Formats: sequence, structure tokens, C-alpha cells
Amino acid sequence: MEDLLGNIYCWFESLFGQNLAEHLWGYNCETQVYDGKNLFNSIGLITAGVSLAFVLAYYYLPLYLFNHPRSNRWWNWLIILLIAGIINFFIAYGWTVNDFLNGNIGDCLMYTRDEQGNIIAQHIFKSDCWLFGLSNLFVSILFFIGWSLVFKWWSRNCKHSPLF
Amino acid sequence: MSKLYVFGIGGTGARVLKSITMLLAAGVDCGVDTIVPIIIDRDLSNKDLSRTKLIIEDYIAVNKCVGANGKNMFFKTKISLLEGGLYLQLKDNTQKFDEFIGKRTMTNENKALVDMLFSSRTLGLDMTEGFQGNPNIGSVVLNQFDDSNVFNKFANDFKDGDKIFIISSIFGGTGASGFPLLRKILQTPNVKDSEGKNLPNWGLVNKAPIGAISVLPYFIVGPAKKESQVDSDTFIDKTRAALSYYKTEDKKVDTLYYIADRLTSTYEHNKGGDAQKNDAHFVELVGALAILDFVNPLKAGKNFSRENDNIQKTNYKEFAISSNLKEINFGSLADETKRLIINPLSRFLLFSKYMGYSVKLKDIDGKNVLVVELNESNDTFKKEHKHQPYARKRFTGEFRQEDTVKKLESIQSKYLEWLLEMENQERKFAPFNLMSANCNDYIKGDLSVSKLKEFPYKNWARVDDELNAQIRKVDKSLKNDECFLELFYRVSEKLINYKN
Amino acid sequence: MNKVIQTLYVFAVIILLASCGNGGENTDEKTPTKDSIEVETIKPTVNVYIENSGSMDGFVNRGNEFTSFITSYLTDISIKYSNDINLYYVNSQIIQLGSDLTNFTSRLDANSFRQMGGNRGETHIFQLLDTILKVKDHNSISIFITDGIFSPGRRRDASNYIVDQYNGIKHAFSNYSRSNPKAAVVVYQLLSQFNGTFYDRNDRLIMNVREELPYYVWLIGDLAEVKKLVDNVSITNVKSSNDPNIFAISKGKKEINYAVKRGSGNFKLDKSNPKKEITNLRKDKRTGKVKFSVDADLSGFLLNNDYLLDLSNYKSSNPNYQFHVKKAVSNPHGYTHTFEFAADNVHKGNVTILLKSQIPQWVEGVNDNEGLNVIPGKTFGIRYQIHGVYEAFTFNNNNYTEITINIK
Repeated sequence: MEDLLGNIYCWFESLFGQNLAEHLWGYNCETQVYDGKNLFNSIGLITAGVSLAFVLAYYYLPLYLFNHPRSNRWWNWLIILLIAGIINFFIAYGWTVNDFLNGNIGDCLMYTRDEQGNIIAQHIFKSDCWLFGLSNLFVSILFFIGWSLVFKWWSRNCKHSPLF
Repeated sequence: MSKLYVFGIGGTGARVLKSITMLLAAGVDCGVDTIVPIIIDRDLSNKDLSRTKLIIEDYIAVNKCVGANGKNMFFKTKISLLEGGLYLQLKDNTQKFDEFIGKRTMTNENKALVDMLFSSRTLGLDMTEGFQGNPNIGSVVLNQFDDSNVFNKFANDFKDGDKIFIISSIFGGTGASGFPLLRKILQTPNVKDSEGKNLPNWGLVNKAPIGAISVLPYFIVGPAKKESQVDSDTFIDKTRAALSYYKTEDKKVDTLYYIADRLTSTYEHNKGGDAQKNDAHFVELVGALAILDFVNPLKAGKNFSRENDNIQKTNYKEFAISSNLKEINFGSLADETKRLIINPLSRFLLFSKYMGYSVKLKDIDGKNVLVVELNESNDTFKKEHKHQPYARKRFTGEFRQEDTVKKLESIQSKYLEWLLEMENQERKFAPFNLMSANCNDYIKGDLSVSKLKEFPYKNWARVDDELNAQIRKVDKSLKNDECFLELFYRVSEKLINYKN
Repeated sequence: MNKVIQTLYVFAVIILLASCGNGGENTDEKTPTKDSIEVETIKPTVNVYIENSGSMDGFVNRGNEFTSFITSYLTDISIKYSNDINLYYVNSQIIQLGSDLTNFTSRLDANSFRQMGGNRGETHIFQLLDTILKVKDHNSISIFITDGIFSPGRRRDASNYIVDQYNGIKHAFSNYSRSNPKAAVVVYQLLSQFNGTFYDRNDRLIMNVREELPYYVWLIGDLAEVKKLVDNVSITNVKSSNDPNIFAISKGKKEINYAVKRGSGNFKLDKSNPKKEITNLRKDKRTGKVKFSVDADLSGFLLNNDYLLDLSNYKSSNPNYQFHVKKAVSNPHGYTHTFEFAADNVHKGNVTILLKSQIPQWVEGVNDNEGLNVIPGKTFGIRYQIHGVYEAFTFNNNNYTEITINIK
């Protein structure tokens, strides 16, 4: 159960790479076990939360763009989905790039070193952080769709948005 | 299940009946649950009659779908017709007056008497076009009420507890003469039909509560275009003459209403037939208010003074506005009238506007004319019903082509026309900004009527929001057309609620 | 009312977004670095026992390998391991020589042997070992240097004698290992030029023998200390005609540190047990074969690479996977060796590799079963001595350790 979020993110592992994935799982280079914080859970919960917040707003908040008779077209829903997705994109990017720049990622995941300790290969790059952000955008979309299917039914104005 | 039988005599009768139909469509409170309109006129081709007939027929079709439960007041009161239809068919088809009275077969003495009483012009009158302002002729012709089958169906239908109301104009031709004659025959016992049999229930008819409105002049006609004996200069004289005769009606009717207006509009001179189509006037609306007043159970004390079924006195009532304004809006009306008509008229107008009916300035034959039309850019229903939850699976697809809905919209269109006509009179009844396309500024005056300006829903979105809210409260088992009315009534009630 | 809800809502969303800022901070969850301060331990005592029976005279001619070895080895020990050294001659009894290494090594000759006394005629290896083993001193290592030659005496039947010695050694070391659970024994076999009189199994003299004959250095003590001595004081550095053969044994099965090597194949580490369980094992995209590697720290056994890299010293429980052993690349976890597994297809289940404790081949090669002649490079009955020790340590378990990987 605690691996559920991580497994979902790992559908996109080919985007951001196995080494960054290990870091996010909480792999500890020294102990060689996953005793670090499971960041998939942390980021995943925030992503789920942000998506949920926007879904609830879209369906229930009495404000233009949200729960409004003129905002119940399918593309209004899509716009909100994308806004939530972009916020989650930056959350995931920001978190991982912060770890990347502050040296929080384990050395054995970042580099391969030779006998003398010199770096002969690098495995995690800043671009992987962008791609993880992109993966989180997809995960955010999945959450958004899921929350929408659960919560739309009691919405006054938007219950048939985007479908059914 | 008590009924009110409303006899509308002549063109005025037809127009007042139209007004009462509009008011009932808008959902005014009515003290009886069924009104049976009966139009009496010699001139059946009168366009006013045909306009009223169409509206009543449409109303009846829409009323069929209104259920007994629910909050809906639109079309709530039933209108039903006698078996024979709206018109009380006068039996004679004779063309000219002298043929009608059978002058040719009279004795010479009687012929001489006739020549003395009636001018040759009058004798040569073609009566298919009404009595053209000659009540003296009308009185003769209409006397055929006796010994005829005219009232068979009416008598069959009449039940204990039903009431009678007569609308007529005191000027003009048909009405002025018709009212007293009609009243007389209704109160004559043992009237027989053409076969000599007593009309059924006639005893009940004799004793039934009876009221009447006599509409005094409120318009004049312009100069004649064709050969016509209608002359509005004589309206006042004829009014005076008739009024003095009506003294005999005292203690014969329970309540007698009078309505008049000194500020007159000039109507096109059409002596009858297809072209006699007079625009609606506020006075006719007031006439309809008289009907409602008559059946109002709270007014029973004021309206009826009987002892053992005998009328002890006749209650006379008149209608007034607060000051002599050329333009009347809701503010000009007394509190009681406001309470009666502001909400229904405003709500039904909101409904009609939502469905796309609006007043626009159009260029017709080089002239700028205001017309009522179904305008696509104003048709919020058309634009929104595909997207809004309230319409989902109910009011989509071919819903608008359904018979009930088409008739509803037909009435809505005519309702706007009715309001527009009243606005175009000399004495304007203009409580609404009919040209406004918005939902929240069409009621004139600061009446604190509506909740239509709430943020964040602008304009018609506010209505859609309320529709989506109210649909949840509407009984789901209702059929679509009934649900439609129920829903829109609830919404308009929520959004427009005048209290004083 | 609606506006209040909206404002609260906006605040809630802002707070939610702000709280995610915690994510990037350093967490203090990394395991603390190991202490770099060495804990001062009490210096162990080294008790050196040199057999001074008659058969040893031929080795102690000054300048030959044996003498050079003793001198350098003991000097190295005093420098690199512990300078608390006690020196003894041993035959039928233990003769104390003090701790003066220089003095001792300068007097390493037959005369000194003779002078020091004791019963030099017979050599009963069992008894010698027994004597040494009975010295109860936990913080010490006993070094026993011997030619390993039995001298049963004229009267005894050599065959029975050998077996008796074998049993005795076995029994002695059994007791020793029972009361010292961390016991370990190392036996080095070296060669030296022998110049002197040789005694055969029947105690018959063979004069003027000039051959290369084996001698043995036994290290007995707790595994940790023995290992430290072996690691710190290398025997290969000492001038000798060849690399010494080694036999090492320690008690029981030891748990070692091992882990599947990340990235050594197409698989995922199991999240709950990433060092020893893997999931989603697939064929490697490039080679089309299934593979994975396991790093292990095999330094805790007194085994050298000849032993550890020899596949015959391992037993695999799962025939589906082939494997071989290499020295590990440099790593911060202390892994010394890497096991590389391969298969044509994925087979789920356990793969267990046992590191057998076996008597090395050289023991048979150096063994002389007859004991009637001088055979260069061989010792009469050495196999019985080694077997005795071996069986004492392995009677209930003859695997040093095992590594088990679960493929899910």
C-alpha cells in the first residue's frame, strides 16, 4: 500500500530515469536499503491534494471559472486540469532540483566513480528533474480525472462537465 | 371544483378575456379553479375574437400538463370551454337588419312603425359585421336568446356553486345592448329551448352569484375609411344613455364594476371583420382584475349581499390609479394591485425572455417599428440547454418541438406583444423595459423585487445557476413539460419576490 | 457568505502549496558517518611456541629459510601487531624463554634447543597442541611453529598412533572451540632447507639429509585477533622459496554483509529487502540473458583468494543459475568479492550459495602416508593433523557462510 504512489510514478520511470527514481524511493547509498523518506509518497500526496483542491473548487466554489453556469463546458474543466497540472509540475520539479543542487541525492545514484574516487559517469541530470516534473503533470492529470469522477455528481452547475 | 362562467360580449369582451388569459398564464392567484369563457358576438370574423380564441386554445393545451401538486402557478387555473366551443353561436345568418326583423313579411302598420323607429340606413345595415355602434339594433337581435338552443350547453354544464360574470362595453354596439339582455335571460326562470323543454339547471343559474363589468369609453376611432356607421363622437352620448338604463340593473347583479379612461388613444377605424384588431389596453387588464376581484374569497363579504339567495343590494366598484400619469408602471398602482400582479407579470416575463422572446426595433417599409420576435442571441435557453445540468436528459433534443412547449412559447410571444401594445397606448402601461436584453434591469422603478444581481453570476448566468439549483428540488417523476413549468416557476419565484 | 467561503478557500490552497516547501530541505535521516576514532583496545599477547624436539635441529641452521623466517616474522609481529610477545620452547613441556626477541633469534640453533631441555626424543603433536590449547588466555594468540613430524617412538605402531593422534587433536580442538566460540585456527605450510638428521616414523635415523622440507606455523586464537594478525603481518613478504599454503578454519556459520549490486542486470530491488531480494527480473536488453551480481564481504574468514575464487569451494542450491566469483571493485561498503549470476531465462525463487569449508588440496599433496623416507616437500601424517582440526570445527556445520538471494 505504501508503494502505491511510487508504483504509479514508475509508469513514467523511463522519462526521469531509474537513478532519480531510486532517490525518490528513499534509497540510502550507505545502508543500501530504502530507509530514506519515500518522496513519491510526499510529492504524490501533495499532487493528489492540489488536484483535489482544484477539482473541489471547479465543482463547488461559487466563483467565476468555478461552479459557474458559463464554466461548465468540457474545455473549462480542461483548463482547470491544466492549471493544476502545471502547479504540480513545478512542485515536482522544484523539489527534485532542490535535492539535486543541494547534494541531497546519494552519491552512488548520482555518479559512478573509479578506484581513486574520480567521477567517470554521471547518472542524474537537471533535465531528469524537468522530466520528473512532466511525469508529475501526468500523475496530476490522473488524479484530477479520478477526483472529478468521484466528486462531480453533487455539483450544482458543473456536474456534467466534462462528460456524462 | 367551482367554476366561473365569463361571458365576454363583443370586442371588449374578447380583449378582456385575452387579458385574463394572460394573467392566468403568468400565474396570478385566482379564487376559482376553472374559468369557462364564452364569447358572444355577431361578428365572428372579428380579429380580436380570433386572437383571443387562439390564445385560449393554446392556454388549454399547456394547462393540461400542469399537475395538482407542486409550486407552479403558471397556467395553474384551468380554462375550459363549453362543448360548443368558445363562441356562443347566434343562430341567424341574415345579412341585413330589415331582413332580420322580417320587415318584408310585416303588416303595413308594423312596417310603418319600423320605419319610424329605425332610419333607412339602419335598416339596410349588414349585420355580419356587428351592430356598428347601434345598441338599439343589437337589443333587437340579441333578444333571440329566448326560444333558442343557444344556452343548452351552458345550462348542461352549470353546477351548484358556480358563478357568472359578464363583460361588456357600454359604448359600441354589441356589448352595450347585450349585457342587460343576457342578465335578464339568465335570471328568467324556466327558460325553454327551441323544442319547448326547460333548460336543465336553470334554477341554479337564476340564483347563481353574478357579477359584471361595464367598460366605459377608453378609446376613440379615427375617421372612417369606408362606409361605416361607427362614430366615436357618439360614444359618450350612448354611454350616458346606457348608464341611465343600467339603473334597472340595480339589485339584479351582486357586484357591478365600472372602468373608464379619459385619456384615449385613437384606434384605426375598422368597423369589424378581419381588420378590427384593437391593441391591448391597460383598461382591459383592469377588467381582468375585476374578474379576479369577483372570485376572491377574501372579498366575498364586500362583493355579495344576499339574503336567502336574494340580492339585497348591488355593490358598485371602480378602479383607480394614484395619479393621472400618462405612463403607468408598478409604482402607480395601489398596494393591493401590486401584490396581485407584480410577481406574476415579472416572473412570466423573465421566463419568456429566457426563452428568447424580445422586443426589437425593426425597419418595416421604411418605418422603425417595435416588434416581438424570437431572437437567437437572446435565446438563453437555446444557447445553454445543451450544457446545463437542469436540462440534461429532459429538455434537450426535440423537447422544444413538443406540442405543449410550442404552445407555451406561442403564448410567451403573444404575452410580450400584449405588453408592447399596452405600452404603445396613450395611457401607457409600461412597467417593464421591454427592450432590455438583461435579466436584471427590465422591471422599472426601485421595487427591490429581485435577487438577480448577485455576484458572481452575471445576468442570465444567475438564472442558469438557480435553474441548476432548483432542478434538484423538483419531483423527478413529473413529465418533462410539467417539470419545465414547475422548474421555471420555482426559479422565477426565487429570483423575483416582491413583498409589501 | 459566498465571499467568506472563497477567501477561506484561497487561504487553504496557499497554505497547502507553501507547506510543500519542506520537501527540499536536508533531512537528518542519513545514517551517521562511522566514527573515525579508533577505540583503544588492549594489546593482545602473542605466545610463540617453537617445537624444539630433535627433528627440528635440521631446520635451525643459521641463515637458512626457517631461521630467517622466524626472525622476520616475529619482528614484524612485534611491530605491526603487538609487541607483547612471550617466547617458549615446547616439547613435552613448555619452557619459558622470556620476551627478548633479539636475544631469542640470535640464539636460534640446535645447541639452544638441546640446552633448553625437556623431552626432545619423541614428538607427540597432539600433546603439544593440547598443551598449548590449555593455556587459558582469551586475549592472546598462540603461534606454534613445528615441523609437523610425528615421532611416535620405537615402541608404537605408527598406523594406530596416527589415528590416535588424529582423534586426540580432534577432541582437543572440539573442547577448545566449544569453550571459545570465536575460535579460529590458521596453519601455514612453508618450506625450508633442512640440513641434518631425519627421523622416520619408527624413529630410525636418516643422516645427512639435505632436502627442502615443510614446516608449519599454527595460529590459534579468537577469529578477530587471528584475522588482524594475518591481515597486518603478511607472510608472503617474508623471504621464502614459495608462497605458503594455508589452511584456515573458524567456528560455525557466520553472517556476512552482502547485497545485490544495483544496476548489475535488468531488475528492481525489492523495496522491503533491497539487499537480498529482487523483483521484475528480466532478460538483459543487450545480451538477451538474465543476469545479476551480488557483492559480499568475505574478509571475515581467514581465506585467501586462491580459496575464495575457486568455484569448487562453493555449492549452489539452484541449478538454474550459473555463477562465478571475482574480486570486487573498490567500494565503500567493504565488499571483497562479487558473485555474478547468469541464466537463459528468468526463474523465480531462492538462489543460495554456500561457501564450503574444505580442506585445501595442498594438504593431500604435502601428505606422506608412509613416513619411511625423506620425501622433499612432504610431511608424514600431516593430513591427519589437519583433518583432526577440520572435523573438530565442522562436525555440525561445514559451511563458512551462505548468501541467499530471493528472486520474486
